[in-house]
Amino acid sequence: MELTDPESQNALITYLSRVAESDVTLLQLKKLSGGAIQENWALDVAVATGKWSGTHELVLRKDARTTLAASNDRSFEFALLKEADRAGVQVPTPCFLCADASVLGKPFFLMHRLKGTAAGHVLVKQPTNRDLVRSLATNLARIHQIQPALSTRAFLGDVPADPVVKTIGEYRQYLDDIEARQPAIEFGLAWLERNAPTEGRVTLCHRDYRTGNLMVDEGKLTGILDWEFAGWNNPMEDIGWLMAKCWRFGAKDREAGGLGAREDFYTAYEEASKISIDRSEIAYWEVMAHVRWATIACQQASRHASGEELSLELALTGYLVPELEYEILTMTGRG
Amino acid sequence: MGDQINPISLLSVARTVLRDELLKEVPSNKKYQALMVARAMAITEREQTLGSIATPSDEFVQSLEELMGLDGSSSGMLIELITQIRTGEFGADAQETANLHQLLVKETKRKLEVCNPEYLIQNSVDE
Repeated sequence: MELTDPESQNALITYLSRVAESDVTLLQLKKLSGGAIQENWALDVAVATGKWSGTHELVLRKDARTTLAASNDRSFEFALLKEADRAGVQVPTPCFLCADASVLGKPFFLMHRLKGTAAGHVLVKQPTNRDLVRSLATNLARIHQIQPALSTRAFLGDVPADPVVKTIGEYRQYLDDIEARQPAIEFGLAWLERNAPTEGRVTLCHRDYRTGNLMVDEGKLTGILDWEFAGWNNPMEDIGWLMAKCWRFGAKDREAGGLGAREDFYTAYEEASKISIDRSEIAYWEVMAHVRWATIACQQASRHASGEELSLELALTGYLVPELEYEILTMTGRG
Repeated sequence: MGDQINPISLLSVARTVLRDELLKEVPSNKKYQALMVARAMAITEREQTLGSIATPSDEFVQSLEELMGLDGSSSGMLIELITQIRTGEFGADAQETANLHQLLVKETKRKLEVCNPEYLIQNSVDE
């Protein structure tokens, strides 16, 4: 069911009229780029009367036709957005959740549309931005301090005793599920197993905290997007993911997401969280980041190759895997 | 007609037309898709000449045979290799691990020549 169909648009307007308790007019609807796992639509509506009266610039987020095992459903993502919003994390304000798949074919939610761009290749070409890097650190520290409500905990499941063991097991299972025979990724997984940190906290983690999922307007952070992978883990995983070379969009020397210096990030994170970062441990989490992205890229390619969802973008993601394997092998070559 | 059109040259000339003549005419909101098409064509062209990345190279398979003392199909050997990596059979001996690492780097570089030769130029690390 495509949102471009008049039937879907009518169903959406009917739904919005019901939840807003008012006549609602659809002013604009446009599919946003990006989102290989979710579909995002820019949606402008006018609400005639009541609490929501006025015009609203929104984003509608729903599952794509096929999705990934690790991707959380829309109800979960909506609950997390609300948690993050309450905790003072900069996020798009969540509005309505429609868990009823009969309306648009898949559950969806609506949130306020933020100003700016999330495009990584654009952001890394802007001047080095120390304040932006510091606000990323402050927001991540706030995420790691969230104590989820009981209802959200039900979505999150039990806190793993050892998130590294759990994560490595999951990645092996994901690879097996799609019959991916990738010895370089396996080499990386074995290295991660042998070199795992002996201790560490477990907190709520965003698990996709990187350039590309950060909305920035005129050099200032406007919000953290894409909460679909959030879950319990060692908070250093989020930091390693942001610092990983594969998420610098070619700006290799700006180690904090291609935006600035990693030390600026570390300092601001430590100030906000009152927790010190073991710099030497982040290298481990950068290996984990490359292994994670390589595994996800294999899954994305498989969605295309299996015929589940024919997509040029998904197919090309499979051709990124050797770059990630090369980085894994480079980082793990010393034993 | 004596000369037959070579599929590689056909793909190459089509990509040149796309890159040099059509891309500049593509509206900005479709530029990303057009670049993806050009990239897909470039990869396919290289796969035609350098071999697929979906199957391991003969050289890699042969080296694995020597390293692991196994024979059989390449997919069977990969499964066995992955099993040994996971169980720790590979990894217990430092020299064996270093040998495997070297093989994997070589095979990964071969795949990078197909997927993104520029990446190797910009990121190559002396082994």
